[in-house]
Amino acid sequence: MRFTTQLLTLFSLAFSIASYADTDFLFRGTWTLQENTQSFQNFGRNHQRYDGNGVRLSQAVISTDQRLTNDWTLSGVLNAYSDGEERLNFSQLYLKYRPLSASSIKPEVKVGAFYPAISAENTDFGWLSPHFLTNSAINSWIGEELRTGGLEISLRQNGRQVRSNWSWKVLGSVFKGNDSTGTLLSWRGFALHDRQSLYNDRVNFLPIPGVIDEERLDAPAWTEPFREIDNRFGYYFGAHVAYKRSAEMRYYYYNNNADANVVDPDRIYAWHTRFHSITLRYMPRSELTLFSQVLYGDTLMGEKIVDNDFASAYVAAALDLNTVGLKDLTAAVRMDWYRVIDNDNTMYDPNGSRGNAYTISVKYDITSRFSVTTEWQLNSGDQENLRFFQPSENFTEHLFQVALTATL
Amino acid sequence: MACSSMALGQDEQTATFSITLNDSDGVPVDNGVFLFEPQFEVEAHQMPQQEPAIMNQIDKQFEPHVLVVKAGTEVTFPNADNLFHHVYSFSPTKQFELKLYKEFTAEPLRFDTAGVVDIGCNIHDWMLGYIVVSDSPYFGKTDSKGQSFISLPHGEYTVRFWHPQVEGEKAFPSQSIAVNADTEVTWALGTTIVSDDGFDSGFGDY
Repeated sequence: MRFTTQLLTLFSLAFSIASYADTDFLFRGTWTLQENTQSFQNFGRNHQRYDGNGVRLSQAVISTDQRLTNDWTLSGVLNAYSDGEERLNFSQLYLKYRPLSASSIKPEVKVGAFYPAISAENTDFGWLSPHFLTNSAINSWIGEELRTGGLEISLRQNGRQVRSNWSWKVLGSVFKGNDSTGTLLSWRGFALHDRQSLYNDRVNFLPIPGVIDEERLDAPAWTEPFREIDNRFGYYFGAHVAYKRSAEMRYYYYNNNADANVVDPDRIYAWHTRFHSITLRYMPRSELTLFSQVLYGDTLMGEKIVDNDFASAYVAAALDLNTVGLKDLTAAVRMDWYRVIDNDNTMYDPNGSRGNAYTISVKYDITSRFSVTTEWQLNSGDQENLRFFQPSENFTEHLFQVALTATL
Repeated sequence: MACSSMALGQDEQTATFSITLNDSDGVPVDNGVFLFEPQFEVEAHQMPQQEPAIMNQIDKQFEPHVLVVKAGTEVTFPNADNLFHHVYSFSPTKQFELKLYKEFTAEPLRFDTAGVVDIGCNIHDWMLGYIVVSDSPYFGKTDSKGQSFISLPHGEYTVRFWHPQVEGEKAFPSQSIAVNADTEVTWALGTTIVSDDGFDSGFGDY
C-alpha cells in the first residue's frame, strides 16, 4: 500500500503540469443479470466476474501520458474496482523513450509494467475495448495473468512515410515477474470478463481438493500473477505488418522462462509458460472492422505435475450502424473457442477444459462523453475439475449487461 | 477613370486555367499540385492575393494533407485535437520541430526556400502532411473532384506537377504552356491513386 501511495503522489505530480499531459478518465457502472452462483473471484465455480445480479462500478480508470522531455514519456493507468482483492492500484506504469529520428526506421524503448501489444480488441486507453464490455477468452487471460515488468525495444517503419503500402514493427523484450502465469488456465480454465489484474493483485479460484490439500500440491486457491519466484528473466519477441490502414497481422512468441521446479514460501509455484500468438485485423470499409486472435501454448509446473497445452481463438466483427441509418450505434459480435489439454498423469488434478462463448454487444453514444452498452453473452463448456463440486463437468453461463460509460 | 480602365485592362490580360486531374482509372485525383512558373516579368499588380496559410491537426491528421504556399509565407500550426502532437520535418527545404499541446497554436513558421517539406508527428507515425513551397505566386491544388482553377496573367509558363503519392515529379515532365485565354484541360496520370487518409488507433502508433 505504501508503494501505491508513493505512486499516487507521482501521479498527482503528473497532473499538476496539465498542459504537458494527455489524461483520460473513464467511469463505467454496469447492471448485470446472470446466474446466482459464486464467481471464481470469491472461490466459486462461475467463470464470471460477479456472483449474481447487481449494479457495480465495473471500471474506473485514469490513464495519463506525461511528457517528461522531448523523448521521454511517463505513462500510467490507475484503476479502481469494486471487486477482487486489490481494488486500487496501477495496471500499467512505464517510461517510453521515443526519440525524434530523421531515419524512416525509428526506435522505441519501454521500461516498466505494460502489456505486450497482442490484443486486437483492447485498443482504447487503459487497455479497454471500444467494442465489448467483456474481453475475449484470450485477452481476459492476458489481462489477469500477463504483464511485462521489464524492457521492450522496438524498431518500426511507417509505410506512408516511404510511399509504401506496408508498415512494420519488430520488437523484443526481457522481463521479470510473471512466474505464476499459467496457473489460472490450469486450475480455473479460460474465463471471459473485463477485470484486469492490478499491481500487487491476487486472483482467487475454486479450491480444487488436489490443489489445496496439504497431502497433495498444498497450494493456495489464489495466484499472484506478477510474482517473481525463480529470479530468471522471461522474454518475448514479435513482429507487426500492416497494409495501409486496412489490414494488420501481429505475431508474438512469449516464454516466461520460469523454473518449473521452484516454489516460493507462500507455496506459489513457478509455471514455465510459453505461447505463440497471432493477431489479425482487417477493415474492409471504414465502418466495418473484422478481427481475430489465435493463441497456442503450453505450461509446465514441477516434474510434470502439471503439464498442459492450451489454445484459444476468436473471430469478431464491429459495425458502425450509421451505415444502415442508425445514428450513433455500433454493434459487435464475437465467437470464442478455448481449450486446455491435460498431458500429465496427476490423477487428483485434472486440468482439461473446453468451451465456446458467443457475445453480442450494442453501444449507443448518447454524447461524445456518455454511452450506453448492452451486451449478452453465453459461455458454455466442460471442465474436468468441476466433478469435485457438482455431478457434471459441464457449465453454462449467461450474462446480460447494461453499462453506462462516462469519459472525460 | 484611369484606374478603372487599368483594372479593365488587367482583367483582359488574365485567364482562368481549369485543370481536371484523373488517375489511370479515370478517378478524380485530389491534392495534385500544379506550379506555374511565369517566363516573363510579373508586375506587382498581377500578384495574386496571399491567403492565410494554416496547417491544422484534426483527428490525428494534418489538415490540409497538402498545403501550397509561396516562398516567404508564414504558416500557422494549430492543434485542434485534444491530445499532444510532436510535429517535425527533416526535409532539407525546412527543418523544424514543434511541440503542440492540445488546442494550442504555435508561433507561425516562415517557409523561405522553394521545395517540398514532409511533415510528420513523432507520436502518431501515420500522420503525414506536405507543405509545397513555390517560388512562383501562381499555383493550384486539385480538390476532391480533381479540379483546380488558377487565375493566370497572359503569358508563357513552365508547368510543374507534384503529388504526395507520386515519386518525385515524374508524373508529367515539365512543360511550357502559353496562356492567352480561358483554358480547360484534363490530364490523366499513368498510375492509380488510392486515398490513404484515415487514422485508426487500433493499428497502434506506427
